Amino acid sequence: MINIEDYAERQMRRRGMEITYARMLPVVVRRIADNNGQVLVNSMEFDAYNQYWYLVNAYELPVGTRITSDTHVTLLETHTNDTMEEFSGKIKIELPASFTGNVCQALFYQVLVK
Amino acid sequence: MRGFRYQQVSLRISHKGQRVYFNAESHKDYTLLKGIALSIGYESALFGSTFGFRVNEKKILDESHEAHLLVFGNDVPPNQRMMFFEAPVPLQASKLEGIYTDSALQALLGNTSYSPGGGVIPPAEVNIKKTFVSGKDIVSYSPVIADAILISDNTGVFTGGGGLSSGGAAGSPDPSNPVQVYYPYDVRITMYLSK
Amino acid sequence: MTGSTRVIHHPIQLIVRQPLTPVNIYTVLPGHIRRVVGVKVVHSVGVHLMSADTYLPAIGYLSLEFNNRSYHMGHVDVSFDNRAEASDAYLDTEIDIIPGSLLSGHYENKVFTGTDYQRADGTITDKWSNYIVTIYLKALSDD
Repeated sequence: MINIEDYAERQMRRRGMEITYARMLPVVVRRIADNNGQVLVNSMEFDAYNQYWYLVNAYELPVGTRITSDTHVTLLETHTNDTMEEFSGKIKIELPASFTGNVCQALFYQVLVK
Repeated sequence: MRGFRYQQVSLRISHKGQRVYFNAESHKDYTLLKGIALSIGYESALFGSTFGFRVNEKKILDESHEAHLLVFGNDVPPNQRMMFFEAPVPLQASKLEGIYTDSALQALLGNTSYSPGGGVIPPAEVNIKKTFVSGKDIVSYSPVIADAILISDNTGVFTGGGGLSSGGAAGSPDPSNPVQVYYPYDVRITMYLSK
Repeated sequence: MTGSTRVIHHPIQLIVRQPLTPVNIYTVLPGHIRRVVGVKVVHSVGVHLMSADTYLPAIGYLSLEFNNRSYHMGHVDVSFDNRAEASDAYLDTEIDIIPGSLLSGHYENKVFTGTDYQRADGTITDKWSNYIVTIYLKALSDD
């Protein structure tokens, strides 16, 4: 597995950006259904403007999860590699209809730059 | 060089009359907002729908501004496909907010509060819900999980996986009924930022 | 800028093969491109096999990043337009290009996403047609 701290550090330096702060940040996405099984919520949206978020645990998310942002969109498929996905802007995580659990945790490495 | 940026936000309208609020933040390197445009999959959804917009809590477009005035088709040259502000709005990682109301003006057709022959509708009745941040049926796209529950009646978002359609209606509006609006539909707001 | 600089129109084709899968773009621009003065994104072929309409205002949208991901230009709507009055003009840009740098981004399809185009198991039906979107870069080249 790639060392995320080194990876982000190098990525930002190559683009001429200096990291001022970085941390691991888990984001919990809940799936809430009513008594009839109708799904009320299975997505989560939050702001990461002027920031860079790296998805660290793609392999732990259900196949079919879609993560949308201003700079990058990814759909996790069975053949998705263990690559670093970088997101910025308004990030939305949508769990697939096939996911029947209650919670799902996406782990991000959040990077703020000068 | 690198003088501009098209920042987009996407809204999903799930049912007739829905109000959808969004907020976003402008990129810190861009200091001017020069224009705004909407785009939409099916134009029939636009008529009577309104779009309000403000920057740093100052009003740029009234909530009753008609959305179709901000949509520019492919017959317009790309450089003119936007409503440009004559005086660009200054930005500094600013809060950008908008509120889209589906079929807002249709609701006024039954307005009886003015003279029998018709007349000016008082602004207070046009903007029934004056504020951006209150109102029961507002779907908030701010990062609060509780608000997201209100998106719930949107089954399309779960089955369609983020497309314009949640079924066979995709791309094939019924020509015999041209005013029909297919829900859910997506509205994309493009903001033209500049240095 | 040298005396031999000329304007070229550099096309980049991308194919959309699934309604829901975002298409990622990672392509290295030729080293002779110095500056991108205009961008045009058009639907080339494919959507006409799925729709009788001559105009769909937004079949999807494209996000573009230039210069090894250091500049995110933002998003451009992609329309399907078979009408005579369709504009074929470029969107003015003015982006200085690092020679041989990466052009990256993604395209997200927004039409024909229903289950009659892609089944629940992920396979596409015969109602779906792959389609091609072409990005044209109007560029100053010194090749």
